Amino acid sequence: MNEKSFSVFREISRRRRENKTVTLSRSKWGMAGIFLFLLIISVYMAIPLVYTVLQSVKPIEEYYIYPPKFYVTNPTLDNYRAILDSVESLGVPFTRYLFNAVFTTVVGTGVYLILALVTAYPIAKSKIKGVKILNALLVYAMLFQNDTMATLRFVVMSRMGIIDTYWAVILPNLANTMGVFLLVQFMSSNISDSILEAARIDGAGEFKILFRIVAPSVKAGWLTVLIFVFQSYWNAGNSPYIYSENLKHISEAMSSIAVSGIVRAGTGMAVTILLMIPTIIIFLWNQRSIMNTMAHSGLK
Amino acid sequence: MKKKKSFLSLKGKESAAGRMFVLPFYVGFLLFSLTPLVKTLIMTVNDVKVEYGGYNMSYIGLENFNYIYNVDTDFLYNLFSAVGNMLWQVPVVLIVSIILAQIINTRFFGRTFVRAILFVPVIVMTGTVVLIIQNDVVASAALNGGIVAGGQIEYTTGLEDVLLQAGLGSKVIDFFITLTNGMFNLIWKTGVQIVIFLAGLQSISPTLYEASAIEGATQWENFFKITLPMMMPIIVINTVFTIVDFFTDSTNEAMNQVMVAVKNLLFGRAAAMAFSYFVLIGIMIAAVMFILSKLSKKYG
Repeated sequence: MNEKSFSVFREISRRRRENKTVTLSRSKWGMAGIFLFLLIISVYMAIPLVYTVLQSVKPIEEYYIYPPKFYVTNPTLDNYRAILDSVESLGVPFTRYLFNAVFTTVVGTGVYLILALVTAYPIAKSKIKGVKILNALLVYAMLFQNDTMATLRFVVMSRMGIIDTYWAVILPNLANTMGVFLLVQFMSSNISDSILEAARIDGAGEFKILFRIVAPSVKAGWLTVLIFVFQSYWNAGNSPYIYSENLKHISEAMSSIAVSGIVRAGTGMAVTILLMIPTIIIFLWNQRSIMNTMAHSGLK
Repeated sequence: MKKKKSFLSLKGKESAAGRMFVLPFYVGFLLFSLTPLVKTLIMTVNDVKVEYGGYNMSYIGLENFNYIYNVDTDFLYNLFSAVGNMLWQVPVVLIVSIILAQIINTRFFGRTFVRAILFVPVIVMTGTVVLIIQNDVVASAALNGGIVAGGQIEYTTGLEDVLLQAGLGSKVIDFFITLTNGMFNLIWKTGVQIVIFLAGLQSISPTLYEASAIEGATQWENFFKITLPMMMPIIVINTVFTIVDFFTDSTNEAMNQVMVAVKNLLFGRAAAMAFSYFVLIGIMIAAVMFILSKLSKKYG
């Protein structure tokens, strides 16, 4: 071992003691270039978000200024107060909409994650007949997750008699194959057969192996799936399969407040902000956990 | 009591367990994706008339296909332009997102902030939220490549003037203008891919990089010899996802044509178009997966 690699080795062991990831040094100019690049992209991404926040605190007079201004001169919380007033005049109590949204989101996300793990595990790791066909189905089924299927899905669901129930919101999203495919890819690359074998010899059942060994090893994978599934339920919008007012989603009630022309434009933006908050919280928590997984193979 | 002899061998038992695991998901998939798909197939050879309380089908052979290929002049053009755009846009999206993921995965000052700025808009702005924002004049201008200067929205004409004075041909100028205006869309489209790549990068064991650091490998060698091969399964899913996302996007003209046909209740023609379209995408995906699996066998 020469002098240089010895110093690298010391650096690595020091960082390991301090429980840090090992990143190697870069040149100053490289860092500056990367920083500039990220700055430009961040500005691009942040504009709509910043704009939404600004619009939500814009008083109604400033909405009539032509040409429209990006900035707000007299910020106000009137738009948020207007939501409270509108909420009181809704036909169904506001908490009911909230409950509908939270219920479908939590149940849908939970059930989807369990289903996806249970489905992905045999496809990635077992040798049952037809695994290749099942895997190919996952890929091609991703094509049929869009609006073209809405009409025909309605027919299926009305035959099942679940139109205008919570099932009509929860079930269609469960058939989404994207998350399962993602987990299959994670499992097939991250989990070695020998660790499964060791667990079997120790007498663990398949469910135990799945939830105690496989799931923690692909934590980064299912956390990523979680954020996508959460988002698809929470931002479900106007479901074509729900008529009853007391089963409607909060985003539907909220968007009915928002679409009333320029008088309600500010309120609409305030509504948008409120709808965003849960997703942002979930996302930040989620990304922190992904960064802390540091998934290792589990073998020495 | 005499122990009953199982009618399944050990191997048979194991694969039965595997089948039990995957069963619930595929039942859902059968109902919500496969049934509509089969219905679509039946509709392609029928004249579908919507009536009160349902629809009526009468067999007309290949008349729908004849119409979309020989009578409707737009369809073939849209189909090929969609494929042509896909061929360059998908690689660009993938390369940009893997570079960004790689940058964000390293530690630097303000990483959490950059990460939040990059993804929060992508994660948050779906469904209702994006509908509200698109209805707003200023915000949609910002979304479609307008820049915010001095508090007002302006379109980028500055670059065009500079290029005209430089004496470049109109084709070259058009190319640069679409490039700069497409910048926003491009970054916007990479969000999901970056999240998936990040999860993939997190599941590569740091011990590999530590070993390569001791061997004295450079960052480039790390990237091409460790990161890329370890990420191959994730690259496969991201490629497939990007292709699907591109083709089923509502701004895609071929997709748009299908949706317009559905809105006009021309279900037979819409089914024929959707069927041809999906077969084409299916072939593209199969080709891409074949090439990528060959590549990962070679380098993996």
